[in-house]
Amino acid sequence: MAPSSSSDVRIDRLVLDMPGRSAEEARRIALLVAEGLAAADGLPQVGDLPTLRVAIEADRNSDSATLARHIVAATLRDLARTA
Amino acid sequence: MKRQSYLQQVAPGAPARRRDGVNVLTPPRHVVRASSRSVDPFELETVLVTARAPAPHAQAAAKASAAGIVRTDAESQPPPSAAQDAALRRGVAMESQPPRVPSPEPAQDTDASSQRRPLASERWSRRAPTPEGGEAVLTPTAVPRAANAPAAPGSTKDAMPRGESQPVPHEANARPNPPHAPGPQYQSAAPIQQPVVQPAYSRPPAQDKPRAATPGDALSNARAAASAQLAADRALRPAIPAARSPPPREPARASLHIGTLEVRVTAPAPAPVAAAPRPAAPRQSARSGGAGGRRIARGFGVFGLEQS
Repeated sequence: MAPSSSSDVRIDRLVLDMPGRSAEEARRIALLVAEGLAAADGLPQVGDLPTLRVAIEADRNSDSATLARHIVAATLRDLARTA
Repeated sequence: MKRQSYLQQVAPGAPARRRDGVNVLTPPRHVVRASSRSVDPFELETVLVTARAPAPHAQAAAKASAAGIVRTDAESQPPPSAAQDAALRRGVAMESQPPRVPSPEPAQDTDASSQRRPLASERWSRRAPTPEGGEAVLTPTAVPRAANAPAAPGSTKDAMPRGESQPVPHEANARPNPPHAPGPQYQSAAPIQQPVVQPAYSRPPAQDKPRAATPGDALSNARAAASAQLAADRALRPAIPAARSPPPREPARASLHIGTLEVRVTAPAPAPVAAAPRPAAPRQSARSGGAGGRRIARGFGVFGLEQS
């Protein structure tokens, strides 16, 4: 599937499991992840994945933006691998 | 005597006919008559057959009546049902029983009032008791003619087998009222009335009378046209599926859809601690006796002194 520079991405449900972080911080990170995926390049143009699980390692002291970028990068890798 | 119209039967004072001779109101054939008897289809058939009675046969029957044949005993006459049936098929109507024994002079009950009843009243009084107590029998109603074959008493019953329709000669139809020679019992009677064919009552169809169009008619016509058009459309269009499947979740536009994105962030594993150098184990002398005196060097132990 050829990746496209701009495509619609729809995520029905986003689950963040980040021990040691508050819900507010997790909500903010979720929004950053959504924006990052929408603006990311290399997403598959068409695809339907019921569930996508991404696991990353991040330091407890890392900030939200950095953590969101790591999540987006890992998601893109998994999408490229599965789609 | 004129036949009473239906209106006259209902209202005796009403006029029977219009000026042009048409009955004001004709009674339907299948209604209860004024005699309060139940409707007898057998008798109705009698009236119909009488209307188209053929002439020759009726003449023969009339001869029998004109000859003054009387029957007074019930044993000698055929059963009433058979006689009535046979007479009906020959186009006769009902009349009070005449005397069976032929007599040159008119019988006691052959006065004008009892013998020459109007046909209309004769039809409805078939089973009515006569003034002399006789039983009703069948006598012809057609006009008798003296110039025909001699009268046979049983000719009215035997002239034609049952169940057959009698052919109607053309000349009989052309001359329905030939000159006749009245018999002795007809001399003082009034002119014989011919059976009147009453047309069956039928309701005129609605299309015969055009009526003015009303707004309701236009509306009904429009509705009828719309319903017809709808029926035609339904006939042309394919059948509508009973239940539609739910719309698909995927949009028509191509896109990427992820149902659930689960992100697990884990802390990095702690850096492995560098292994500390182990202290060198004290080297034990193989030959030291001390606490490990029991340990004996291999060679010495096998071949040593302690083996002794």
